[in-house]
Amino acid sequence: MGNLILKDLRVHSKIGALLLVWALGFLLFLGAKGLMGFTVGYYVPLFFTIIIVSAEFKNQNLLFINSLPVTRRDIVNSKFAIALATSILGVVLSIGISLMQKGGEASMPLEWTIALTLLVFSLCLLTLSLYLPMVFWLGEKALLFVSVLISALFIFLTSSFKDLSGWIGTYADSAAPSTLATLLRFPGMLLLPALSLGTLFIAWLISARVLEKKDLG
Amino acid sequence: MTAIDIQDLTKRYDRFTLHPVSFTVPKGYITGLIGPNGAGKSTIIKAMLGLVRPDSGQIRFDGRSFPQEERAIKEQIGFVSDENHFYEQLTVAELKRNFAPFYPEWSDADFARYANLFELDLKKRIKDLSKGTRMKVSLALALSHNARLLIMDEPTGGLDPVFRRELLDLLSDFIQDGERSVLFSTHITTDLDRVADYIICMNRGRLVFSESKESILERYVLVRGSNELLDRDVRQEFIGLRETEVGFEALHADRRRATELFRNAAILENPTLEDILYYTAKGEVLLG
Repeated sequence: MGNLILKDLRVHSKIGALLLVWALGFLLFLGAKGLMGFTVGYYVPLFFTIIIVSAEFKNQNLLFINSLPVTRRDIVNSKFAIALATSILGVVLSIGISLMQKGGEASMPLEWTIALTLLVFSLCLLTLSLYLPMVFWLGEKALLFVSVLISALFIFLTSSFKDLSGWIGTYADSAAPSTLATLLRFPGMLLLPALSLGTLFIAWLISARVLEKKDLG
Repeated sequence: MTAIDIQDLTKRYDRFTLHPVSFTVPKGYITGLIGPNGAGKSTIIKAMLGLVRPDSGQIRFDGRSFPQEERAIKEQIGFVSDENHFYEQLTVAELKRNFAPFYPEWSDADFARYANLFELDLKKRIKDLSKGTRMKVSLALALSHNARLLIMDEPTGGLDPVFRRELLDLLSDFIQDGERSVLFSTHITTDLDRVADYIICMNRGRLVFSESKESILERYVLVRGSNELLDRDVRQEFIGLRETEVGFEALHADRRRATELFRNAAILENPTLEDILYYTAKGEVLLG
């Protein structure tokens, strides 16, 4: 499985670099303010995983891969490992950008940074949990569904983030309780990552079963 | 000793059915898998590599069950296909870098030797290569990890005649130690006339025969004669029959029987594999 992951990262390294440049450009032009870090932290890992997986189906590389000394379970495992790893990368990006904001005007309280980072991580996993079984089932056609889903999510998130920004501003002005207290006030922020990891596990089981029975050629 | 043992393999698609097929590929020889388009050759090869899932049947490689020991089996297989699904954006060298780690016995020296022999430009991107050159890349990769079995699906289609001849020599060298085997699927039967030791013939999803080339060519006979020799019973004797105004040509599966039947009334000739394939594939249609 390790070889498959390394192969994916090597083959798509240029796309990965381009996405990071896009993220940097996004931040430079629009500024590292508000909830920008979370937007970047959501879309970079999501796009990278989708590009890696969809390319295998679009160009029928899966036929080539499956002729190598790997099992179909290895193929599924490698894609889910990448999904998980890139989602964690999204967390790192979110926190990194958030830290860049520290000291700036209306900086976000730490507890909000943690909560929103967990939200981004969870959303990323949930989207990929929908996408991966679908792509293993429907192939390239799944991309259409996911692009509609992502567009809808983008509209929803940007509008929600605007509301959240105002909320955070108000919240930051008030006396902030401790991190733990805040997280306890929003237990969903802790439950969501657990739920999304569970969903990813179910998606992995479904994907493995779907690919196991599928004719690739 | 068998390199591949297939028992009762079946696969049903909407428009094609692979009926129960059983055959063996002996170790140390070149075996040709022939048949017209849609005969089931590619389905069998894809099932051997796990690209399609058979409905039933057993596949064993050198005594190992597939897919139970898939990874270990595939490490021993070099696969060459006319449909190369490589990563188009990579150069040949990059493709090799991504391919090599999957094989414990990969040899960079062997790859360099074959790349040199096939005159491959390692800096060229896959998408810029001709079909023939892609095939050469596929072949260089398949031959560089000490494979014990080479499975080739229509490998000569995009190749020029000079390289085709060189490839056949290469295959003969490959099996020299008696431990390596080749399964070579093609409908260009002249290639097999030169190098194959055993022939497996498929038609419309069914196995027609699986035996040594020598015995096939001894057993089958091409009969030529005037149309007056043909009556209903005689027609039934043939595998395939082609009639023209001046006479007929037909394939009989039993040389001794054909000799008894026609004596000196018809000309009996040795068929080529192409003759056998042609009459086998077209037989049912020609005979109506």
